[in-house]
Amino acid sequence: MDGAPRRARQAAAALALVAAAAACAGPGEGDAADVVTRFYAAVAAGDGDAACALLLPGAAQDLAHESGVPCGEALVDPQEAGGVLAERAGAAVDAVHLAGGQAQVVTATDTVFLARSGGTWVVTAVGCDPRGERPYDCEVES
Amino acid sequence: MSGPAREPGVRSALRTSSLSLVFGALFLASLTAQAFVGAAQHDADQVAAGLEPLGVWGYVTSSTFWVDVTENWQSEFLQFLLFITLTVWFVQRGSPESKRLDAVGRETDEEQRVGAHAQPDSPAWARAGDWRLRVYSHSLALVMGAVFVGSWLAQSVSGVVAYNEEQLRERHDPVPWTEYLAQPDFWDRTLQNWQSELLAVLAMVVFSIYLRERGSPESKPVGVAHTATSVEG
Repeated sequence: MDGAPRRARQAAAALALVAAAAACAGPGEGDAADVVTRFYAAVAAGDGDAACALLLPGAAQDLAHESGVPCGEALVDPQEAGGVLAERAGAAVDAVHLAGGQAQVVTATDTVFLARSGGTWVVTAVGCDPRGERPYDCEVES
Repeated sequence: MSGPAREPGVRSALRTSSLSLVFGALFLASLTAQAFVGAAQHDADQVAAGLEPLGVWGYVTSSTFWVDVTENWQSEFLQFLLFITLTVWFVQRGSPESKRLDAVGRETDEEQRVGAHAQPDSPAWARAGDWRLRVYSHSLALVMGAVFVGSWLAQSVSGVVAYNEEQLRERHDPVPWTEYLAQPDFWDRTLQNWQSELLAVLAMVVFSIYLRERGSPESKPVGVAHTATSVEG
């Protein structure tokens, strides 16, 4: 007779642990939105290096490789990615979606993808437009 | 003074619960090993993507880990739930996993030793003739079923996070939980586990008709006929 309640308690404890795991700690929605706000504030201020520091290093390297100029220059150069990004700067954050170590921040003018790295978020793709069933088409991505 | 006097009792308790203890230890060892090898794989993927590794604790608190754990849990408890309940009504000639061919159904109170037929050492709720007897008569299936449903629910909750994590990594929009329940990912994780558990039960029921493991209560005694049903060693 003791077995069934004990098993039920153990199961409840296990499920509580699962629920806790599903909502695991770490940088949250506000942090992801803050990174995007700071990224676009840096772009709007012409501080490409500050914006570049918020990118995933792989994305920064790919941008520099594709544009032929340093990442910090490309992000504010109207002839490079900076042209598209400048048009999208200044918009307020509408929604943030978190899923594990990935996040999506939606503004009125852009959809930005981020990944958790250590205690913060880094931008993995920015200047993104939906393409239906296909992945977003992004101006800057790794 | 009490230490040496208790020792034989402790040893006896360990011996008489050795089956539970061994399986408990194997479970914890397997879960721990899964956590470490899973974390190693996850960290390798993180580093390859240019991100900082999560570490073991970060991994065991991630949905990626828990969806893998719970998709297996739900199927195991479903397996036993079905095994416990379907063997009330379905039989297999020659299998030690089956009841007698003429004992199909819930059986009489006398056979089940409940109510007026309860024994002095019967559980208290088996002696009761009211709702307690009805609940206790199905307590094993109820608990197994509850753990199955809870694990499956946990699989869906952790699964949608893990699925959306992959969606975002691949630059797709995330989906809500209700939509995830109709996604192939949820049913692929579910059905791949169900089929393996059902195959294992089928194999156990059929193989044990003809094959033996001397001394195992899950097998018929070695010399018992293939046609003997509901006989365990």
